[in-house]
Amino acid sequence: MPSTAQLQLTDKGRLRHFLTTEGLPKDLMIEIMDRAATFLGDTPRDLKKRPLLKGRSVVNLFFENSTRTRTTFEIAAKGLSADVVSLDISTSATAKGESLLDTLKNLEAMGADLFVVRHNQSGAPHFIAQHCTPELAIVNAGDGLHAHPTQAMLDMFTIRQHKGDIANLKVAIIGDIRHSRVVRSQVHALHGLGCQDIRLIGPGTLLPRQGLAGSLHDDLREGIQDADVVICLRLQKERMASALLPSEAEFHRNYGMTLERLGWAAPNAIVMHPGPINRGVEIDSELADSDHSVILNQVTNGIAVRMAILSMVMGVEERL
Amino acid sequence: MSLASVGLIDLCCRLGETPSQTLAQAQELGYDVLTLPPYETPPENSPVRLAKLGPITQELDGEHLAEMARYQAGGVVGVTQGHAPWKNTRVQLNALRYARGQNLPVHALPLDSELGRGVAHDGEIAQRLGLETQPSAAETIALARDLQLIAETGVTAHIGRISCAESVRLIRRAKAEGLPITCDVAVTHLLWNEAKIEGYDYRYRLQPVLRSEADQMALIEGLAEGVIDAVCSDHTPHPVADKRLPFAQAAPGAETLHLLRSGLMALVDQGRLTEQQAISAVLDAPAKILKL
Repeated sequence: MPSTAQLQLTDKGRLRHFLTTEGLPKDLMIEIMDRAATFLGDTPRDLKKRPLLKGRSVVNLFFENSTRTRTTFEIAAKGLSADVVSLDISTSATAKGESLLDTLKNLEAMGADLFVVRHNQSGAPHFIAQHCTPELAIVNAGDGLHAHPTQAMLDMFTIRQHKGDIANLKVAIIGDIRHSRVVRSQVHALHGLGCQDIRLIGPGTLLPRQGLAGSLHDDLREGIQDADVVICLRLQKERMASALLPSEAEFHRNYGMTLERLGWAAPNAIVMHPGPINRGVEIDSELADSDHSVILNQVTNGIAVRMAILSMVMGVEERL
Repeated sequence: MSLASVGLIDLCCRLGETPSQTLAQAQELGYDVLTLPPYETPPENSPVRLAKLGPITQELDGEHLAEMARYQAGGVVGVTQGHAPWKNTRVQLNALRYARGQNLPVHALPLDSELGRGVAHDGEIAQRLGLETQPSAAETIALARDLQLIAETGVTAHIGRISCAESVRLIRRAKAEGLPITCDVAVTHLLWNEAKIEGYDYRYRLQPVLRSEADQMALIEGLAEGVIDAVCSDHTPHPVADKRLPFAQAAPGAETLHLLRSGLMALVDQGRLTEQQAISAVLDAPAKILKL
């Protein structure tokens, strides 16, 4: 079977779907970021709308709850003048597979052009892309532990915006590396953009054993030493229930980012977080609200990057 | 006698939703005997000889001993817990002791129920695909416990479907120490490894999971060396609706009746096994294990 990286490209190497940053050619990542930049105005309110998808219909297909990601996709699609429908489909209703395919076939029959899919199963968008009609494009809005590629691209965009060429940077990511689809996509994107120094930091239970580019650190200070970019991840409460961590407090003691600890990183280091943040767990309020934090830029950039990706998978080739 | 023509004796085959069709296919592919796990319901007039395993606990609940003597009177060739979990080690010890008293062989499929929930081998590919992982220890922890209890009770035991190098090592050591056990591997695990799941290919979602290439090679060597006695099809047909799903949701198991002979022939052609070793793995060894 084709890998996810193969499945998302056309014969000519353009985006047919957007499923993963793994194996995504560097020139396509740069094109996404360059195109996103054209949608940004001077302030978050001035996002430049363009009717590039007028008459096309985008269906947000969310099998897993997510208000934030779904909303940014809605705003992005509307910013391109697409018709947008959002559907929350509980996974229990599609626990049997044929009904997942049945759901798809029904939506296809309604004439959708693009599905934005979030699902709690790794590979579900891949599965959908394999079984849908060829006219339909799939954008992965997060699948299981596998990938969250639009989040990763908005992070790359934000890093480039603040720190320039990603190839020369030291990037540290702290938290639940092992169970994070965001990290997988970030690491593939960083690697694809030439970043040579990626540090993945967390306690042993939250680090992967193998399979990701980057060095593994269970010591925070060692991991963020001289880093230009520090990315904190949201700590999920379930990690305590499944005996991966003793408590949030202990996580904070060992791995929580504070303004003081940021002193270990490079001067002018930026701090990022995919949101929503647990203040006082993975990051202190003082740091989250400081000049080092670019967390709110990430949110605005997320809309522009998603506009770029939606227009590219819909085959809008015009140079903007 | 050649591998191409030998009548196959399979140590594990499930019949699926259309038992008659599975049996007809087995007959056409030259199977002489199929061993069925508990609770399979074959039609009355099977074209292939059937050997049945009974449950070792009631409904495989892992807690209450099954009426093994009654199953024995009904003609079962052994009892098994399959991959179903044991309530605790005390029940398992008692069950093996009881089976020993009935002179019933036990077919053990070692798998730790918690670690065994992972859907892919704990390696680079599963990490990358974001699939819940099943380390080899899911098998070896249960195998080590099974071996201890087999030694403790003196029951006649067969270990089924091992999947990793470490299990081959444990079985080799147990045999060297004189424990009278036999062992099999599914043909799938001799032919394939974890690379097959790339692209979330749900056809290769198996239990136990496909492991690393090094594990695959260790299984082939274990067979050639005689540590592993037999090879089975582990045929597991599922309706397409249960299989054509996102990887982790797909029902584990594959239709593999056609692979047992052809797969072994391929290994013989590659020089990894002698034809005699391959024949023994699907004829002499399983006949002895089933006491046919």
